[in-house]
Amino acid sequence: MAKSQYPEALARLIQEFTRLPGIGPKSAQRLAFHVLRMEERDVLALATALADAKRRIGRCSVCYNLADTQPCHICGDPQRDRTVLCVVEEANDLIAMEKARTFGGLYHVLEGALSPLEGVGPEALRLPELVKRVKGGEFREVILATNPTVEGEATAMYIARLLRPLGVRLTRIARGVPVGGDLEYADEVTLARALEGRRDV
Amino acid sequence: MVNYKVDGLVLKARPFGEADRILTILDPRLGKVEAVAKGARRVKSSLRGACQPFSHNQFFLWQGRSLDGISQCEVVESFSCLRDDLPRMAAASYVAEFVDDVVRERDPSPETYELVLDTFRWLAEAEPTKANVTHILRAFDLRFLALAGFAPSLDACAGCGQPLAAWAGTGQVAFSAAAGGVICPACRAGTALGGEEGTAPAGETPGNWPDTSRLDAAQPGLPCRAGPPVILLSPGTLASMRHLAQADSARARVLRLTPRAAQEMGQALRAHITYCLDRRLKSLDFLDSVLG
Ligand SMILES: [Zn+2]
Ligand SMILES: [Zn+2]
Repeated sequence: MAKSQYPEALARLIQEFTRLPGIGPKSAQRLAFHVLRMEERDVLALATALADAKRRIGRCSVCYNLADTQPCHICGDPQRDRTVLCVVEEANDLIAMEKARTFGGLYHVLEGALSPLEGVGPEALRLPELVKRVKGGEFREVILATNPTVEGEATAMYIARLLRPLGVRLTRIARGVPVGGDLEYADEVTLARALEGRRDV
Repeated sequence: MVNYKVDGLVLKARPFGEADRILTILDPRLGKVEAVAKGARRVKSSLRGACQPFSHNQFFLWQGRSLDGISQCEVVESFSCLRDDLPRMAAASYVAEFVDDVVRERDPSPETYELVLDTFRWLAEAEPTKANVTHILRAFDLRFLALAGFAPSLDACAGCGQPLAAWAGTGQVAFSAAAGGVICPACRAGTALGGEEGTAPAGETPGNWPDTSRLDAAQPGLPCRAGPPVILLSPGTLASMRHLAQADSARARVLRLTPRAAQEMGQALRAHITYCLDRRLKSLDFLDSVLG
């Protein structure tokens, strides 16, 4: 292999940046040069933040949200409605729901979705934990808020199968025309779904 | 920039990058085509709904340097019920994974396309009971294996080529995935093909070789090095397999498949397919868990 044109420490930094998603060699080089131009204390703050996040953030032992406390701030909040549970695929879906500020119940993060083609089966998800929570909890309703993708739909159907015997009310988030979208540009599948999910006004 | 049209079935739509999907499309004239649908995971994308697995769409593609891209898409037949029902979804996933594994890119096979389309339609029309789904998938297995050049030998010994009539009595016949079909007693005794005899005991997933203590054969994607077991087929099962292997879709549907035949041929074909592909299809576990 040809000797690197970069000093060793710089080559290593570029190498580390290329591990990040969406970062190719060109972007990695640009980021590394940027770091070299930064103030030393800013670089240290960045390094500490990286290490801290990795060290301190884990999964909430109740809902599997990303958390730095046990349980997480949502599970530990006495103001939340403990009778409604919203099931999502990933922690970032939970964050998106929280940003909408309309849901005041608790969450359950599955840490993924069923994907038979990729070999992601039920055992890879937090499903036994979900069943246990619903069995032992005081939930009146479980909202299935997995993504409207094949994987998300399959996951919702699978969960419905698991939870139906427990007698809890099961609901699925509505699917339809996105806000700000034009009917004209909506695809056939979305339109069909939107029509199915219509309601009285 | 060259533009062209693809008219085919979406076998796979895996997420790619921030908001894109890479689609694997089966077109009758072009064969298997991979293309990127930019932004297809964004809520407002017009490609989003149409880029769903198992749907039959017309795509307009632009030629890219490494990967072609989808500029427009129109749904021909959405097959949404293959995504809205667990057994159907699991079965369609199995078909898609199997075809994707065997068919090479840009290697046209109109027959394979017709078979997959027909299988999707059959899955969509039939009540998704375990018996129906099993029937549909076994018919698919046998016809697809024949198209792919992996047909198991069902009329003659896979070892010595002696016709079945010359050595098979009225009882059960041994099927060896390692040999590639049914085998006569002499070949079975003479070679060490496939260890233990047996229809796998109840509760054991067929396709997991019982004698693999070192290698976790249940792990999808791993090649199975240990020999598959010999499976015993009753004459009725063998007759059903021959019927399905040669039947067109109309004739495949009228066959009455007994639970026993379905069970035996399921085991034999699973072993055979796993041996041919040198890996266990990942969607099998999900299919088993859904069909129960
Ligand atoms: Zn929590
Ligand atoms: Zn022989």
